[in-house]
Amino acid sequence: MKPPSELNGFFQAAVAQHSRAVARAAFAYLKSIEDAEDITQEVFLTLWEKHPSFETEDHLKAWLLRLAINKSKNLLKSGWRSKTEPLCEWLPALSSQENELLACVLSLDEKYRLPIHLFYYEGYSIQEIARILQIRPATAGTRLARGRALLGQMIGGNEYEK
Amino acid sequence: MKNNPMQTYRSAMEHLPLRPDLEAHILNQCTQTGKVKRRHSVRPLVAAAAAVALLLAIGAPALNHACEIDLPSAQGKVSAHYTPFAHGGVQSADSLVPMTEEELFQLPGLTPFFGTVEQIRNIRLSFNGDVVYRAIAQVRVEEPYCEAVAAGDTVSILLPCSIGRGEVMTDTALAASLREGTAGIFMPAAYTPEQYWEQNGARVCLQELAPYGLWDGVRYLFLQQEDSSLRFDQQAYPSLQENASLEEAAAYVREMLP
Repeated sequence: MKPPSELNGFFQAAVAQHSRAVARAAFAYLKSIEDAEDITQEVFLTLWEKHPSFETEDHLKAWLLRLAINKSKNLLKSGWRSKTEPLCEWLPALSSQENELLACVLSLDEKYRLPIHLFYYEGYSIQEIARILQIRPATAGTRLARGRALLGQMIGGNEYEK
Repeated sequence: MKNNPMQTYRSAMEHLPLRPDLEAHILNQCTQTGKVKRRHSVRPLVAAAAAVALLLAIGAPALNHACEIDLPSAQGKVSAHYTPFAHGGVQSADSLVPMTEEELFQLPGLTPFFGTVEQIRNIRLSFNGDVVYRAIAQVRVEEPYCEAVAAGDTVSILLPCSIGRGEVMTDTALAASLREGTAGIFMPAAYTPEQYWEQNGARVCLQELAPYGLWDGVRYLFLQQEDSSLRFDQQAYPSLQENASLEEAAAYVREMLP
């Protein structure tokens, strides 16, 4: 177990480096800024309480994202959230084009939009996506391809392939 | 959308309006209190209703924009599906075929009624790669002026343009100003099974998009404004005064019907 000062330093670095990535992944799942921020707090609280060890920074980030997605799933299953599930709102901070594209991606089923987010925003490979989502690589690849196809139908062309 | 869409998605995620003190908040919550103070994502009913109204007006993601419209009679490579996007130019009065007010009322299948827009969804059509945007409006009939529809019916009308989100410009076609909740006199024409839209070597049966359509976006609408005035193409209907009320317009429409 790390001494408190070292734990604190490690934890602070983890928050500084990964909190926004965690929040964005949670947002991709939950479609709510507020819920995404709450889930981010819960993820890092778990990190603080359990202080697991990681071989690399990449392992830490993957663990955080996996935890965020699992906690987001649990939140959606909760009785409270199911009654108040928000729509994807128009975000004034984003441009019209960004809002429109975000709306398209967020309108996909979560099994498609999470691979889309992890592939195109985080830059993960299919193998890495499979580990984070705890699914088989073939399934991850299929869902990514299907998500791309659905996006292509919505926005046209195949520029999303780039 | 000219930029790479995935670049736009990355940009959108980068600009997500997360709280600026997220990191400090997490550190404080976790190391000091050890608790997560959850803010439930409860939106006031008014805000939620406004969000629904806005999203419905543009074709809500929540209503599954991946939904494709079935076109069993289409010829060539044609597809149509709902989309949150609004694209394309809006018709202006200058581009319309000149017709007298009598001729306007002789349009086959004309089905005038007073009603209110309940929902509008944009659609994206592709004709062998040629992409066009339109919209389908669901309009509730409140007072029919013909026997083809009855009060309480909901009529699906293909609009000659897609519907955007922004403020409505006064010089755009009337159809472009339609929003959920817009009330007025609608004069769509019922499509026949033989009517089709052909473009770029592909063809779609209009009835498969919607049972009714607006012949143009200018002359077949009389829309109530917020100040209770009526907006319509007065040049097309010289017999109707410029400041005609809804009741006067309704009487005029009934009188002009063949």
